[in-house]
Amino acid sequence: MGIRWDAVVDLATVDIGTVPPPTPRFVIDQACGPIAVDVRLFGALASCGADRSFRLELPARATIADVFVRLGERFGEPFLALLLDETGAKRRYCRLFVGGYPVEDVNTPLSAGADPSEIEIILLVAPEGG
Amino acid sequence: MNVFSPRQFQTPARDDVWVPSSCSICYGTCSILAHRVDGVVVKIEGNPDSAVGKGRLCGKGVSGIMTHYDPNRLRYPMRRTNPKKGLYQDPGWKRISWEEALDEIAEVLRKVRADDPRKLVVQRTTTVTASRVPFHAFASAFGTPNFSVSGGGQHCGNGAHLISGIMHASWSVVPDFDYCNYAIFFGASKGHSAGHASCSNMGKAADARVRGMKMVVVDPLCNFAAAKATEWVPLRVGTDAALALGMCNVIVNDLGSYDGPYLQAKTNAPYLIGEDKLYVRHAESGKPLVWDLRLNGPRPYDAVAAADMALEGDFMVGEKPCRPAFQCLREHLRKFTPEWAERVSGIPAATVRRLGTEFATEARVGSTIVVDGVTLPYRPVAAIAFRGAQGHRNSVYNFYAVDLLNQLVGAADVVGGCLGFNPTSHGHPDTGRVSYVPSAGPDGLMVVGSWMGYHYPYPPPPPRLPKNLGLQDLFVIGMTSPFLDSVDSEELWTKFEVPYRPEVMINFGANLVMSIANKDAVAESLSRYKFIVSFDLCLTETSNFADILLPDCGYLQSLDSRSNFPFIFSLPGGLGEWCWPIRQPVLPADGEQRQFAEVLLELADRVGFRADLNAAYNAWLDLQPPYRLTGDERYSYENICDRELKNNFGAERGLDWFKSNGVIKWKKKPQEVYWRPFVDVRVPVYWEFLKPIGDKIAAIAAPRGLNVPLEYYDPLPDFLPCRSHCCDKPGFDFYGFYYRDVVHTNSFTMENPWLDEAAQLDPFSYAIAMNRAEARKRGFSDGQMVWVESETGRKVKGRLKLTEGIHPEGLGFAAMCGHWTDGQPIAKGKGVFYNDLLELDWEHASPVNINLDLCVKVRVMAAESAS
Amino acid sequence: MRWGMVIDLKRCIGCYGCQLACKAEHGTPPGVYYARVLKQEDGEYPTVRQLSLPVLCNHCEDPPCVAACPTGASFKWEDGIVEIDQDLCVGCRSCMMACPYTNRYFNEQPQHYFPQGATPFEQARTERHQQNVVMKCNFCRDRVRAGKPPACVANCPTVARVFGDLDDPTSEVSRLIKERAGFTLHPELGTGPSVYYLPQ
Repeated sequence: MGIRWDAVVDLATVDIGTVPPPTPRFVIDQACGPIAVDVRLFGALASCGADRSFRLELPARATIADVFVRLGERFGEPFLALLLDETGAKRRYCRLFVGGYPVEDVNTPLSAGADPSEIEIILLVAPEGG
Repeated sequence: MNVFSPRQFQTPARDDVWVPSSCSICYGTCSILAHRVDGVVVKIEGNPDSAVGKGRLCGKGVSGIMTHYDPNRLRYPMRRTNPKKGLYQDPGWKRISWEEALDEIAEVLRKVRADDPRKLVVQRTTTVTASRVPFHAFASAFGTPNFSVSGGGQHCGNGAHLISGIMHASWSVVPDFDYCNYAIFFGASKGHSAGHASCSNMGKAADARVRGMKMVVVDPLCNFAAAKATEWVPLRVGTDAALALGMCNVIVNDLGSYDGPYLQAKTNAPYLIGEDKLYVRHAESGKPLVWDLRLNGPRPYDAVAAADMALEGDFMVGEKPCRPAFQCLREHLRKFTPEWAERVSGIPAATVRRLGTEFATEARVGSTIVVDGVTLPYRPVAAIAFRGAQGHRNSVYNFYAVDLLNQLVGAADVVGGCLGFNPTSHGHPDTGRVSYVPSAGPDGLMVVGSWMGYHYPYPPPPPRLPKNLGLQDLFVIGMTSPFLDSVDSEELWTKFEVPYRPEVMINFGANLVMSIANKDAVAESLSRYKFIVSFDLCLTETSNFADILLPDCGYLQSLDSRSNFPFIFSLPGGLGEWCWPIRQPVLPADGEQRQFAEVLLELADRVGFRADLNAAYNAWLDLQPPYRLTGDERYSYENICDRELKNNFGAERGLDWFKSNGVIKWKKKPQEVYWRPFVDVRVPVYWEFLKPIGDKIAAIAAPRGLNVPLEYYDPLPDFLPCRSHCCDKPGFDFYGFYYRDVVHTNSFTMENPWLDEAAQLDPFSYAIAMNRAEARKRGFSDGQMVWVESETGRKVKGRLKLTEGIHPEGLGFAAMCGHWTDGQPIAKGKGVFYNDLLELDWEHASPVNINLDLCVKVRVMAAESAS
Repeated sequence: MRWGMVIDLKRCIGCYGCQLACKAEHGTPPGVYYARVLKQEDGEYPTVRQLSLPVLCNHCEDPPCVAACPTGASFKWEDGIVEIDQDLCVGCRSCMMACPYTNRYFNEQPQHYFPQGATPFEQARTERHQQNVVMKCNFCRDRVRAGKPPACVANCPTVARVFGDLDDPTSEVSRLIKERAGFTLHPELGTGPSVYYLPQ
């Protein structure tokens, strides 16, 4: 008797609305040539001995993951552990913005435009309650 | 003698306006219209335009006038001249200028930041929800992870919000008042008292009552929700899990009337569990396996149709014997017989059986309903819990067991069932902001789409040797920590080699001397700080420990662009409207009061980390171009608020638009409210992830001399007794507990003379409730003054109120009263300071979510005379 | 036309919203509550109910307070509202003795709540009231004449209070009284209250 809980909603017939994707809205130009990014670190990242602001030169088709690799080379593994978990994924409270837009997936490619992309990274630590 | 003169606020033309804004007397943050005539606020009413409160307010909301105009409000920055700090030490306050205050604070902060920014602890009161982003942004920019929401968070967050988050992607849960037919409340008064979406819920709950919704309230005390209940079920304090587990057993093992398809499709019930209590995983992908009944073999959970997944049986995967999680649960539940539940909770076995049967029957498993043209699963039952049920050492299992009831019958985020507060939003139709939806995380289990911070309840991060003073990076299931102030904090920091100590505190409005536990423990902790700056409305017991006091603007004098966001916090759940209100000043600052958000910006400028603070605001508010803050430009808070509003609602809807319109709103869709059938996520009815976390924590803690009892980390819920349940000292025969009063907020509102007057008229607000028959046995009479002593020798004094409406073993204290500060002459001496009975240490915290154990075994003795 | 009120005891949860909205609307001084909430317990453990009973002046059809008043200060409007003209009141308190519902108050206390003196709110609102006179609810007559419900009715978060014309059989108050068996307090006293309650 009755209808299976998971058979009630026919997703084909219902408008479930749209949720805008979290990807940055810049044009990805994967043409040849190196990619320059300006990295800016804030908060705890800037006060633990790392430089606040510096430029990186990356190869064509570089992704956010490559930026992290370079950060690890530059500032060491303990620094990188602040940003990435053991699986290599970006920690949720590590907020990263490219050109002002939030990026969650480390495999997001960087764009090789005329100006260097600005990458901002800040840790939003602290549990919350109440 | 008149302290204030209206002439201070002289305006050139006749001033008579109604200003839309937001209340801040409790964190419900209902929308208000403040009526200002000739510079004086003469009335506060609800804002009928807003979904938050729907034009109505509780007693606290309308009384905000007297909190604002309290002549005891701080009006100037002050500095202590007496270096000695203590509960009863006179700080020797001296008035100073803002320049002096900010200079000194900035100097202290500069030194700490250069030394180790983690030595700064930032603390705020939960009451002002608008303080969240500014203080979090400040802490993130400064570089400290050490953040606390004091008692308000400590007493209720770690259980209620954790489980609501894991199971319903929200901060709290309510019955779907519009459609629920049978609701069971465990230690909760949603819709009958203050708190999240309070006034809106009061209206919805009243509609439900008149419609005929049956409400069963499980509570040691018959008040608020229990007072209106169709059936009040009294129980021994802190034993909610016993009833819930007994009911689950009846449903699963006696009746078999659980919703198999829901469990197959939307939970980890079919996941195969090995003898090690962990998932059996697919060798290549690592995904948990289920048993495919059609192919008669194990396959990854996302490769099998739900209807083909086994919920029961014993299987072999390779050499490994295993069974579906539901099979484990079913077997586990068998021992929770109604007779067992009666022994633990005092609730008659027949009642346990009946409630389980009623709940399962009323759930109407298999039925559907059409709402706004959308056909949805219909499960018109809901089991909810809140502050009462989870305020114990066994916090997690109490709340988990209660929600299991919903999960077993599929009454989760569907019509009539248990709803999270707004776990999904498609955003405003014009901009698509702010939109969020839960998603599938590790092992297919639900990750929230929106949270109050970035440390989501699931998946919890791997435990590590802690670097945070609250040890939350070790005890990763916890949120707010008692270990910032506990008597064993130094011992724990030493054990765990925490490489620094707290030195400086910025406190916003919290009165932790009263709100966490016994005052001596907190006083000891506070006196060890080198420097404390506190933003306050009036002097509090905690102000005594501050070095500098800053006079805060109250909510009638403040601006904030997000008074009711995130939507999971204090926007009403269920059908209706989305609504984004703001808070705007109705009155100017008095004396030299300043808005805290502005002060924080100025401090960042003086210390030199404005660029970091701008970046933090960008990150916390999700500001996108062209509204992002750039570089180290000195944006005012007003500017930041304007940007946030435009960022979310378009260029035409900035601060000016909101100041005239008050709120923006749009209709909710059924797919947003009843989102679960539309989102492919599962929730855990077997908390497999808990076991490896427990093992890792024990591996770190045990060698350092801290024994972590691993029974708290078992994947299936159990009843684990509180300290009070284990006390057998002769004469200690009552379970003391406190409860939230509708007319008061934490320790804040006793200073409001209208609320104080109402509380004095109320039979319970300033009294200690005791069962009349039990009182008579002991020779106590109504109104008698008594001493209440805990098993560890802590004592409080108060006046008895005898009642039929309390469990014979219960002793109920209202709110957080008992002020002694001269800075609050109305509050002083009113009510009983229950928290003074509470111990503050590892032994009295939950070993899994670090919630404090809020019940105490006590004895009651006649006091010599009335004070 | 007879103004009346219905209070639904099933809806009311005793939040004191009415008592305090009234206080804010009228700026009543300490000890004076035109609207109050009484609490009462029924039953024996474990079969217990707690009742919240909001009370206010009943604006009786046959008000004993008006009959008792020697100066005519207490009077009844044509629309049914019973009011006190503070200018005519000499503070003899005969009306308080006559009212069986104890819903009248004598304004003799200090006019401010804080020890330091009157707040700007109290200067604006509380100080409008005369001292040494009797005060009571007037169904927010000014609001009603402006087309708004009384403050307590407008504010109630459980929507427990309804206001309307008892002489109109189609009004919501009349309908509720009929459908839900509305009752008055102490009808045996024969004063004919205009405030009805719906059973919890």
